[in-house]
Amino acid sequence: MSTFSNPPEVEELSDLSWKRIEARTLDRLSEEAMVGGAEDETQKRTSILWPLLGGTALAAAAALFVLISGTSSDTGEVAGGETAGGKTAGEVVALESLAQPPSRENSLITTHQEASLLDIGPASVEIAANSSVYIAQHGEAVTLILDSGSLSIQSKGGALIVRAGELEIHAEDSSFVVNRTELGSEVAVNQGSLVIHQGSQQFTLRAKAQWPIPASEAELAAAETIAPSATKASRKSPRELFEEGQGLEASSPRSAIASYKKAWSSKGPWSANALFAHARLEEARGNRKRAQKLLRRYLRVYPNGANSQDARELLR
Amino acid sequence: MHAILYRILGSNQDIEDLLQETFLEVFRALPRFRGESQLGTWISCICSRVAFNYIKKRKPKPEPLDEARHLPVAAPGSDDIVDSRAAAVRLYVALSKIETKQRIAFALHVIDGRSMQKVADMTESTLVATKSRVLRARKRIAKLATRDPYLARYLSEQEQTP
Repeated sequence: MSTFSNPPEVEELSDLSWKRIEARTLDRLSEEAMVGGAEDETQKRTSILWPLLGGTALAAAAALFVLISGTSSDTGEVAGGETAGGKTAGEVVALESLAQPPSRENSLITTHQEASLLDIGPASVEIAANSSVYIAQHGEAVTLILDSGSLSIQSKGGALIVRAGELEIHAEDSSFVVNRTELGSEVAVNQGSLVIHQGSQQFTLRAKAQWPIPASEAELAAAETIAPSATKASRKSPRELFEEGQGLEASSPRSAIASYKKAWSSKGPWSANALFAHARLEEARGNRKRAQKLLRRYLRVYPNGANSQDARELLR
Repeated sequence: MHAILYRILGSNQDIEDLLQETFLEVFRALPRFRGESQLGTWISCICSRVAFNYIKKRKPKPEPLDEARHLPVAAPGSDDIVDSRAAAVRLYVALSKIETKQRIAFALHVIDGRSMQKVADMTESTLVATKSRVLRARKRIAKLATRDPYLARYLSEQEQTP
C-alpha cells in the first residue's frame, strides 16, 4: 500500500466555528500587542489587527484576512482590539445608519512609537504614531472613527467616512489628513475634494484647503477637565493614571475612562486595577455590553486577579 | 491548516482551539520568517508542530484493542461495503496507539497522500527519518489490524480501489 486511494473526507467546519476561531485569534493578538507594546518602551510595537507586512508575510496575513472578509456579519456582534472575547475582532461590522454612530465596540487600531499603514478597501490609511482609530465596515462602505492622533488618507473611490469629534468627513477619490486633539479636529486636503459635515452644516473642501474645526462646547469642557494633566499624561505611571481616573469618575466619566485606558494598556498590578475600574465604570454608565467585554478581558488576562471574583459576579 | 490537523487527528474535536493556536503561532513567528521555504510549507510546519504538541499533551485513553469490537461498523446488510466513516474511526483509534511522529508521518503520507519529501519538510525531518517512520507506522497498523478484521478489510480496500 502506498497511499490511500479513497481517504476519508475531511469534515468541514461550520461558518460559526470559523467566526469563533477568527474572533478569538484576533482578540488574543490584540491583547498581546496591547500588553507587549507598553512593556518595552524601546521596542516599537503597533497594535494592529490586520498586520500589513511586505511580500511573503502579507500572504499569511492575507490568508487570515480572507478568512475574516469571507465571513458574514449576520450576528451584528462587534468587537475590537480593546474589547474582550467571543466576538469577531477586527471584523466587518453592521452599521445601522449614519444617524446612529457606530458602536465604539469596533476594530481598534492603536499605534505607539511608529506609524502604521493600513489598506482597507476604499482607502489606504497611514495611522500616525500615538494614534487611536476605530474601524467599522458595512458592506463596501468604511467608517473610521479617529479617537486621537492623526490619519493620512488616500481614498480610492469607494464610500469612506471619517469621524473626528463632531466632524464627519465624506471622501471619495481624495487625499487628506485628519488630526484630532483634545481641543478639536483639523483637516487638510491634498488632492481631490471632500464633504465635511458639522452638526447641521455641510461644507465642501477642495484641494489645498484646510479646515480648522473649533472644538464643540462639550469637547472644550472635557478638555478643561483633563488639560491640566494632559501634558503629563504620557509620563504618568499606571498608578497615577489609575488614581487620576478615580478622581475624575464623578465629574467627568469620559476623562476617567481615558485615564483608565491609558493605565491598563501598560503592564503591572495597576493595569489590572485600571481595567477592572474601567469595566465597572462602563457598567455603572449602563454600557453593559462594553462592560462585559472588558470584564471578560480582565478575567482572561488576570484570571486570579484581585477583582476576579467581582468580575465573575458582574458577568452573571 | 484545517485539513492538516484533521488528517493527523482524525476528527474536528478540539480543532477550533488548535486552529486558533496555529494562527497565533504563525503571526507571532511571521517576523522571523526569512523565506527560506515556501510560506505554505512554513505554515504547514507550524501546523504539524501544534498537532504534535497537542497529541503529546493529551493523556492517552486506555483503550484495549478488544474495544475495537465496540467501535462503529457498517450497517447490517452491507457487509461487502466498509463504511468509510466507521472505518476511519477505527483507523484513528489504531493510530492513537502508535508513536506520535510515526502517526503524523503516516497520516500525512499514507492517508493524505502527500509525498515523503513534503511530509519531511512539514515535520522538519529528514527524508530518511520520514520514510522510516512511515514504514514503522505501516507495520504497527498492520499488526493492530490483525485483531480488527474490519480495519484490515478497510486497509485492504484502500489498496485495491482505483
